[in-house]
Formats: sequence, structure tokens, C-alpha cells
Amino acid sequence: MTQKIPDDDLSLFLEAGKQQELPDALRTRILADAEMCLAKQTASGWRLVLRDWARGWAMPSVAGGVGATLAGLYLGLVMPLSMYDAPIWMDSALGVFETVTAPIVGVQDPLELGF
Amino acid sequence: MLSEQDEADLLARFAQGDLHAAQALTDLLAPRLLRFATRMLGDRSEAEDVTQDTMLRLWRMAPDWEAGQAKPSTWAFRVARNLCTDRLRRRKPMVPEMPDLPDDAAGADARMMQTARAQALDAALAQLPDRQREAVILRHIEGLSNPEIAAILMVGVEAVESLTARGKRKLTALLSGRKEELGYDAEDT
Repeated sequence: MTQKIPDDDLSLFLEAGKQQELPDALRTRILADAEMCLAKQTASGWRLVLRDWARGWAMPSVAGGVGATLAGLYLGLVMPLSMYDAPIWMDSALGVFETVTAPIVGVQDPLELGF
Repeated sequence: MLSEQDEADLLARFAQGDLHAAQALTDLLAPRLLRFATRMLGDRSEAEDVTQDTMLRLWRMAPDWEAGQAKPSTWAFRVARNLCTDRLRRRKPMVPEMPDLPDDAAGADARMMQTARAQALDAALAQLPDRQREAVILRHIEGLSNPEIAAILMVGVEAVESLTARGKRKLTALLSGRKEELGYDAEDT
């Protein structure tokens, strides 16, 4: 079999060197990687949104809300109510509540305030 | 061959979740990377690993790709080259494997001839110094421009011109004795 050579003797050899196809198995592996990367990007995207949301204002808001609620309950309910006047069923609950809340609100001993 | 903008658009579409863009990029880049890596490493299975690894890095980098950077194909060739260099450093050079040829060639004779020519080319390429081989493959087989090759090899454009010219001369000399044997009739030139 003979074939006419173009001006550049090398070009037919080079042309022969370009004949290599991508095996299906490799193509499948590469596309599986692409799919996995997309899935990871989507997942990490949601994580980033949640993290930014939490860092931005949600966490301080929740913390502030919890703090305000505890302080409100303490100042409005626990402090005015003498332990002796509280119903029996509330007694131990108030004791626990006071133990937890008093240091947070900044009062070590309610008796210091004259109650 | 796609322009820089087209390639970057495909990459951007992939980053936004378009799997068709990944398929298009794979069909565009992976066969070229595989050819390049096969000729650099002389080992088909290692070349497939390098191709897959390079494409994986491209997928991971896609969300951070900025317009105006190098062409994605140039970036991919540079990564593939570095991966090949790492692997070559870890082992002794091997006799190059011949790449597979498409099965739908005209006939068995044509296929065998094409195979023999590709084999001759690979054997000749293996005799070139590394830099010349890289430059010749990228310029004359993969069709990259000199500035693109310069970016991949991290040398100046003049150096690329010199490397390709010297490599091509040497390759021509190596293959000239095999023209008739491989079906190229010198009398017809």
C-alpha cells in the first residue's frame, strides 16, 4: 500500500499519532468524579450558608433571647416570690432555677438584696 | 478546538452544576491529555491515572476559576505534565506503549499500517530529550500554540520555538528511513 506524502514528511506520522480515543471506562470514571465533585460542592454550599447564617446573627440572637428570658423569669418571678410562699410543687423547681440563674444574672445570694 | 472563552464557559457551567458541560469538557480534553501522558510515560495505565487525576483537579478547581486566567486546556496540560514528571522521577524510563487505534478504520491493512506508523512515531519520540518531546507533542500532535506551550513548560516563547524546531528536525531524521516501509511512497512527493 502506498500513499502520497505531503510537503511535510512528518505530518502523516503525526496524523497517525493523533488516533487515540478515550476508553469508555476512563470516560465513565472521569464523569463519576465530576458528579461527585458537584455533589460535594452542593453539600458544602449548604454547610457554608448555614454556618454564615449561624455566625451572622442567629447564634447571638438565640443566646440573647435565652439570656433575656432567664433574666426576666428570675427578676419577675423568682425574686419577688419568697421561697416560703411558693407552692410546694414549685419549691424544688425554683431552687434549681435559682441555682442556675443567679450566677448568670450576676447575683450570688438573693439574701444580699434583702429578700 | 474551542476558544479560551468557550472552554472557560464550559467550566463555569460545570461549576454551576451542569453535567453536560462536564461531558463536553471531558470529550474535549481527556483524549488529548491521555495521548500526551501516554507518550510522556510510555505506560497506558499510568497515563489513564494521570488523565483522571488531572480532570479531577479541574473539577475541584472549577468553582474558583476566574475569567482571564489561562485557558483551562493549558492549565490541564500543565497539571498533567507535572504529574507525569513526578511519576517519571519515581521510576526508570520504560519503552513507550503504543496507543490504541479506533476499530472503525477502513480495513485490517489500513489499521495495521496506522498502528505501525503510530508505533514508529512513539519510538522516535521516545528518543528525543524530554523537553523537545513535550514541545513536539504539544505543538504538532495536540496543536497548541507556542504561547500556550510556553505557559505549560514555563519557558519563553523563543525557547518553545527552538525546542519544537530541533525536536521536529530530529524526529524527521529518525523517521525518514521508515517512510517506504510504512507505506509512504517517496517517489510521489
